[in-house]
Amino acid sequence: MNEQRINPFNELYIAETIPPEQFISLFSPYLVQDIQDGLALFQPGNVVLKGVQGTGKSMLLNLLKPEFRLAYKKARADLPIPRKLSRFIGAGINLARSVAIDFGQRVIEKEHFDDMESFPIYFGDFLNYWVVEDLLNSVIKLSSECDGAVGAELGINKNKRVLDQFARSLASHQCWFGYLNAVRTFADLKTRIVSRISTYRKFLNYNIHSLPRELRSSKTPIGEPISQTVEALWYAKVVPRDVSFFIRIDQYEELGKLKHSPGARDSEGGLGLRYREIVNKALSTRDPRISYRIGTRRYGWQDLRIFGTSSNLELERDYKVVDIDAILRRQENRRTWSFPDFAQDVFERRARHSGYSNSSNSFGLFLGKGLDSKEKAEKYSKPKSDEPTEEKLVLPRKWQKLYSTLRRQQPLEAKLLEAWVLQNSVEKLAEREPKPPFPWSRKWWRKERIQHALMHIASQRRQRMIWAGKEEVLALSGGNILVFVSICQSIWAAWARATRGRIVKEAAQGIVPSVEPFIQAVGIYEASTQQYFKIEQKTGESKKRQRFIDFLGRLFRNRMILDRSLSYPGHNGFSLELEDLSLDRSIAGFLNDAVDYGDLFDSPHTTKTKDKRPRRKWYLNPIFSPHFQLPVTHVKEPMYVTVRDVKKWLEAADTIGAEPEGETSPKSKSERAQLPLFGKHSN
Amino acid sequence: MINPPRFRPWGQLDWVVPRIPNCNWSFIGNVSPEDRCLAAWHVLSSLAPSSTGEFMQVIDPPSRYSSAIEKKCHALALRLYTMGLRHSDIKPVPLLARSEELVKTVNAFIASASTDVICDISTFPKRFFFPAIKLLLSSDSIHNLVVTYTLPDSYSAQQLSEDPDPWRHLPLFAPPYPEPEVKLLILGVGFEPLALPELLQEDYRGVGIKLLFPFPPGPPSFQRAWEFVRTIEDSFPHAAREPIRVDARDVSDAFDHICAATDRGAEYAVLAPYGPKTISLAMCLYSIVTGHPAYYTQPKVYSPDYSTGVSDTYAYCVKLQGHNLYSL
Repeated sequence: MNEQRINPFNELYIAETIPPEQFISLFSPYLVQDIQDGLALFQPGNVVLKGVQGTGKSMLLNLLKPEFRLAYKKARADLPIPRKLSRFIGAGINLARSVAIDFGQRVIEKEHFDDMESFPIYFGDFLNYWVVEDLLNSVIKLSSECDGAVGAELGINKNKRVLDQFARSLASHQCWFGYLNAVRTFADLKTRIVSRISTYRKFLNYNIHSLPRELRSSKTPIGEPISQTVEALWYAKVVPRDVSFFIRIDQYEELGKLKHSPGARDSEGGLGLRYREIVNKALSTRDPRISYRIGTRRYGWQDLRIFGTSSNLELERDYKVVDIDAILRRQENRRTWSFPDFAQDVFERRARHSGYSNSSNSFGLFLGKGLDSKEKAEKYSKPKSDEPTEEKLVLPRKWQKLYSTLRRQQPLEAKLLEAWVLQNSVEKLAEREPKPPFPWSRKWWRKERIQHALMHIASQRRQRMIWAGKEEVLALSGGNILVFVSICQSIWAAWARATRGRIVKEAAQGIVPSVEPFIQAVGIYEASTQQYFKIEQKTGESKKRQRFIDFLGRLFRNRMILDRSLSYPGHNGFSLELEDLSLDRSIAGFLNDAVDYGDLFDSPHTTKTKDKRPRRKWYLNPIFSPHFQLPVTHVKEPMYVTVRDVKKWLEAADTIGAEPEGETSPKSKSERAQLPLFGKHSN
Repeated sequence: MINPPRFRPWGQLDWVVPRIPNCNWSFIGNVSPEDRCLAAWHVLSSLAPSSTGEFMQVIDPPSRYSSAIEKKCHALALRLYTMGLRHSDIKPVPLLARSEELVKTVNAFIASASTDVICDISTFPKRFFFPAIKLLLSSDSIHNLVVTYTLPDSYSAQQLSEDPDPWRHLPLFAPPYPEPEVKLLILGVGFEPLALPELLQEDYRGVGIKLLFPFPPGPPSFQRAWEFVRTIEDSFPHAAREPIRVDARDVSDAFDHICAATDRGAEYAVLAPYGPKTISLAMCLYSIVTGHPAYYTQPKVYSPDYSTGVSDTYAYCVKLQGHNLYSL
C-alpha cells in the first residue's frame, strides 16, 4: 500500500532551488493581498519595512526583485499585486554583501587616517554606482528574459539606438563630475560603472595600491545619480513615465553594528551612524522619481539625522513605516489579529504542494482544538500515585468536604480555591457557605490565574505542561511564520514517529492527519527547545543573549512557582521605566538587540502606578514557554524592576555557575555541558 | 591537462628547518591564553638561535573571560621575555581591528624581517592569519615562507567560542566584482558552527556544498565534528552525505582536494574556513591563488581554556626560494 507521510514542513525556508512554478505555489501573498499594509511597498514614497528575523520581511522585499517577477511570468501566474500597482522596476543594494560597509577599513586619503567626513561620501558614491548598475541590469533582465514578456508589459524599449541615446544623455549629466564623459554607448556606460565598482572593491581588498585620482575627484552626492538615471530612462523613452522605480536597501541594521569609529568620540556613534545619515539624506530629498524601500529590524531604524545637517527625517513626511511585527503579533483585540489567516494560508499551500488531497481544510484538522484547562488539569493529575508534594490547606470544617472532592475530581478548582484562600485568609472563607457561586469563580480573577494554576498543578505532579491545538500553536508562534512552520514540522515528525509501523487511515488516503493533543505536545516541546538552542546560532552577542534568556526563563518560573497564592500571574515578564532605561545605553542596546533577534518581545506598558511614568515591558518569545514551562499568556502586571535589577540579572547570567534566586533544582554544570547522546532534543 | 602533483615539503618543525639551509629566520606568532602559542618559537630558537621573533597579542572585546585571558596571556608573555624577547616585540592588536591596522602591522613586520619568514598560525584568529599569509606570500622581499602549526594536548570540552559576527568576508578576501554566480561552497568542518546553519539556509540555497572533514579526528573531536556536520545536515542533507575526508595535518592534500573540487579553480567557489587551522590554511592559499573569497562568522569571545598543553609542531613550506608552492 502506498502511504503518504511526507512532512510538508521539512523545508523551513522556501527554497530557491525548486522550479518557479512550485515556488509560486508555496509563496503566500497574504501580507500583500489580504492585509493591505504590504501594498504600501508598491506605491510611491519611501517605506521602511520593519520586522524581526523570520517575519517575512525579505519575502516582501523579494517581490520588488525582477527575478521574482520573472518567476511569476514563467509560472504563468499573476503577480500577487493589484495590476495598477504592478508597473514598477526594482533595484537595490545589500549593504553587507556589496561590501559597501567595508568603507572605513582602509584609509583612502593618506592625510585623513581618521576621516569621519570623507568615508561616508565614498560610501554614498559606492551606493550610487551599485544601485545604478543594478537598475540597468533590472531593465535589461526584465526586457530580455521570458521572451521579453515582462518588458513588453511594462513598455520597455531595448532598441540599441534608444539605449545608446539614453547612455549619452545620462553620461552628459553633471552629477557624474565628468567620470562618464567618454561614454558613447549603453555598453560603454555599463563598462564604466562596473569598472568604478570593481576599482573600489580592488582597493578595499588591497589589490591596488591606491584609489585612482579620477575616482577621488568625481564622488557623487547620494541619490542624485540614481534619480538622473531614472530621469534619463524616461526621457529617452527606454521606460514609460508611468513606470515607478523602487530602490531596496537591505541590511540597513548592519550599519548600526559598525563599531570602528576612527577618531570618533562614543557620542558620535562611529562610521555606522554616518552611513545611516547618508541613507537618510537620500530619503530626505523626497525625489518623486524614486522611492526607497529599507528593510530593517525594529531597532535598526532609530538614528534619523540627515547627513551634513542638523535636521532629522520625519515620519509620514519623508517616509512611511510598515511594521510587520505589529501587523502579525496579537494585540488586545483578537479580531484585528491577522496572523491566523496568514498561517492557515501557509499551512494549506504546504499541504497542497506535498500532494495532500484535503489541503483546504487541513489546518484545523491537523491541530484541532487541543485541550481545555479542565482537561489539562485532569491530565496533569494522573497518575494518581504522584500525589502533590505540597501540604493540603486546613480549611473550616464546612469547606473540608468540598475541598477534598475538588482535589480528587477537579484539581483546577481546588488549586484556585487554595489560591483564593492564601490571598484572602481562611477566616474570609469561613464567612461564606460552600456553595456556588464560589469566590474564585469571578470571571476576571479566575481567567487571569488559570494558566498560572495549571503551571502549579503540573509542577506539583511532576508533569510536563501541555500545549496543543490551533489556538495554542498560533499563540506560541508569536506572529512569526518561520516559528509557526517549525512547530508544524516538529508536530508532524512526532506524529510520524508515533504512528511508525502502523497502518494509519490518513496516510493510506493521502490526507493530512488529525494529530492527537499529546503527540502535538511532544512536537511542540521539541520545537521550543530547538528554538531555544537556535539562539546561540544567531549572530551578535548570541551566547550572552541565550544565557540571559535562560536566566530569565528560570527566574520567571521560580518566582511563579513560589507564588502559591497566584498573586502575580503576570510575572513572566518585566517592566522598566523608560527614563531609567534611557540612562543606560548598554542595557537599552542589549534589550533592543534581544527584541530585534526575536528572543524577547516588548511593548509599551500602561502602568498601574500612581506616577504614570511611561514604561515598557518585556516578555520571552512565546515559543520559549514550553522549554521553560511557563504560561504564554500575559495577564495582570509584569514585574516592576529597575535598570539596576536588569544589570544584575545580566551579570548573574554572564557569571559561570550563577543561578536565579530561588532556583530549586539546578542542573549541574556538567549536565548542561553534556552533549546529548540521541540528538539535541533529548532532555 | 592534469598538472603533475607537486611536492610541497612539510613535517615536524625540527625536521623541516634543518632542510632549508642558510636561512636567517624571522618569526611572527601570536600570544594567546593557549600553551601552544609559544611552542613553535621555542623549537625555532633552539634550532636557529639567531632567529628574530615578533608576536602580536590579539585583544578580544571585553567579556566575562577577559580577566582570565589577560592573566594567562601575561604569564605566557613573561615566558617569552625569559626567552629573550623584549616588550616591544609583542604588539597588541584588537580582535576586530580594521584591515588598515592589520596590514600596517604585518607590513611593518615584513619591513624589518629577513628574507626567510616563519609564520605561526597556531593561535592566530583567521581574520589575522589570512591577510598575514597573503601579504607575506606576495612580498618580493620574502624568499622562503614556512607556516607552522602546533597541536595542543587537548581542547576544552566547553564551548570554545561565542557571539559570532555576521557572515563576512575575511579581510583582504572579498569577492571579485562582478562576482560570478556562486555554485559551490567549500566548508571546513570544525567544532563550532557559529551561526552558520541559519546563514546557509538564508543565503546559499541551491548552492552545492562540499564539506572538508578532518580525518581521523579521534575522540572526542570525532563527536564534535560530527555534531557540526549534523547541524549542517539539517539544512543541506546532500552535503552531509558525502564529506571529503582530509588529513588535518596535510595542508598540501587539503589544497589538492579543494583544487579537485573546483576543477583547479575553474569553478568559482566560496570558501568557509571553519575547522582546523591547517585546512583553513589550505583554503587561504587556494583563495590567494584564485581570488575566490573566504567568509567567516568571526566570534567575539574565545574561551580562556580553549586548549591546553602542547603536542607536535608541524611546519609547511609555502614559498621556497621565491617560488609559491601552492599555485595552480
